[in-house]
Amino acid sequence: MSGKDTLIIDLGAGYVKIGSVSESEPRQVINSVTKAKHVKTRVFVGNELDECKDLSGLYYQLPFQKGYLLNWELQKQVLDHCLKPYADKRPLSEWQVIVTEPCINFSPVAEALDEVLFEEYGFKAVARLPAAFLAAQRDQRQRGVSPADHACLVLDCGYSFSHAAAYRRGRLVPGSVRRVNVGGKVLTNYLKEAISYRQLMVMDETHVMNQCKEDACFVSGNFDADLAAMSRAAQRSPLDSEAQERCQKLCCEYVLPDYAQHRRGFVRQLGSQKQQQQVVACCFCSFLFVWERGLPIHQEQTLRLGIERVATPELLFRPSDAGIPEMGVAEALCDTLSGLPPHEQPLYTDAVVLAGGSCRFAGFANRLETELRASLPDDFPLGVRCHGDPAAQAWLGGRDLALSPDGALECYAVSRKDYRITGPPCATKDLLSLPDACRGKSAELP
Amino acid sequence: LQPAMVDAGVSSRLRETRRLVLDEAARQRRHRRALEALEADNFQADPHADLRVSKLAPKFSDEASSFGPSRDSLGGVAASADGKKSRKAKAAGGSGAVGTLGGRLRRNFAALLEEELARRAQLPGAAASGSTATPYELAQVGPSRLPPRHFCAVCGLLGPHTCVVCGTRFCSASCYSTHQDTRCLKWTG
Repeated sequence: MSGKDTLIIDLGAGYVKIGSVSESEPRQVINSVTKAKHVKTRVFVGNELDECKDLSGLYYQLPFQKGYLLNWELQKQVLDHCLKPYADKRPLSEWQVIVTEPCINFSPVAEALDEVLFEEYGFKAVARLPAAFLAAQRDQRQRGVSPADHACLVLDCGYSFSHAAAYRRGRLVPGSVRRVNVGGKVLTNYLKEAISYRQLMVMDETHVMNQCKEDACFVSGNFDADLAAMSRAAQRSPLDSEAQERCQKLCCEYVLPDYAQHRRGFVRQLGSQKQQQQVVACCFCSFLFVWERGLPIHQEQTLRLGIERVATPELLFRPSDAGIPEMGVAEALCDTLSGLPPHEQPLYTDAVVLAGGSCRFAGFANRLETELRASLPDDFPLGVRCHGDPAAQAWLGGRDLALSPDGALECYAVSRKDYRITGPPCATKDLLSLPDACRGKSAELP
Repeated sequence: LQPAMVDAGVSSRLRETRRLVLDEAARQRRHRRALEALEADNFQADPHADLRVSKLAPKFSDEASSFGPSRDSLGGVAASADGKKSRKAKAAGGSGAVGTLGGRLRRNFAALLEEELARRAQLPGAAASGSTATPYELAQVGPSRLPPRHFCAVCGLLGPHTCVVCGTRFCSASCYSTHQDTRCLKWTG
């Protein structure tokens, strides 16, 4: 099986990243069948949403629930839509496919995926691999480390949750996976609630607020200092230059889309003359202004963003801010690390690989490094690595795997012939954990 | 009491009867509902729920009305056995059969987890090892070692003080009066 006609499908709860091995980056297709408020005649499958004129009040129907693919009726529609350009070029029975699954999967979900891929679509061969594994592969090949020496920690922050996992020699270290139930969905909902409570009722506008989160939010290097600076500004105390700078960086306006002139909102920095007034105005809840009068202040609708810009991504590091009784991603990585043999731990910390769309926030890598550096012994090397767009890392890892000259994909792909003999689920899972003593012969990876 | 917190012109008897204080159980319930709301895909109800297809509308066959390209054009499966299977699956019933692959896949996550637990309990090694925790549950991280921070619901900065009635946090008297005026016990996010 050559790697030439391989499709890589990173099946995520938020977006499906799909592309053939000959493309250099994946297409991101929203993994939902969406209903628009004012368009009653049709639904929008995947990226058909671009044809919708009014993106307000969208209702999402997601095939994934809590991060697991449960609804094939919806997923089939989205996959049909994604696969159409490839099926037109060549019938699907001639393609082999790499598809992703969560770090810890349930057998009914895995069986269903295998069944649909082999029996409904009829692919030639299927490699069902965790996204974190593909990110680890990407790291190993990008850095040119030999497979036998490779060790890394993978942090995959997705839509439904975030996983921290340790990979050694291309395999998952058993018992090292940690899951934090904070992902892009929780962050968007948190932002929606904060804005709805304080300024403008946006609880229905998931799509718009998701874009707002992507455009305006970033991870603060020092959240406590930001809070302190904004508090002082709210009390109209004099600010020193550092606090002044923090406030200026935080306070901005977000212009909401009006679907006539622009379809996507944007951040508008405040002019220097009005900045001091705006800083104070941001701290005081401006919802009294907008809400009770019911009129927008300007022609366009704007949101005043202040501490929300950093408080939203802060949930990844401190879920307890929203009342979620879990540790954040940095602590989860340390928790994974503490389960590994002490003499090997420095090998893992040297490569902390970022993957997943929720790692895309500006300042994420720096903040993660600061938090990890503070928790690790100072003689451990620490390297937070991201080889490009975090959201595409799993897909790019799949592509690297398919193109690798040593034919590694062969170890993982199950052909349709073998599937017909053994039935679902295919035994790719066994190759991905370190072999335990009682197993007879297990395939040794090169 | 500071002037902002006292309702002027209302008798103290009325103020007392109006005062409903949420107990701990009610606050926990509100907190749980808030956490569930954070995990929701949509806030609003289905906008197309009230759509009814008129009886007079022409009925097309199954293939033309499916949303994606029909199975035959994408399936690419030539063997007659498979062809029969796909036709049978189409005839077996509409969306329900396809969505859950003939009912084998659970429709919701809670059921999936329960099934997994039951399956593990039946494995031969389960009684011996004594722990029936699934890998999914074992991967769940524990609570943070750091103390939780509380934020003022009105302005988003640190909120050290708690509203007596509903337990929401606030940071200053002005935020508290805003909370009392408009949002106390009225906000259901």
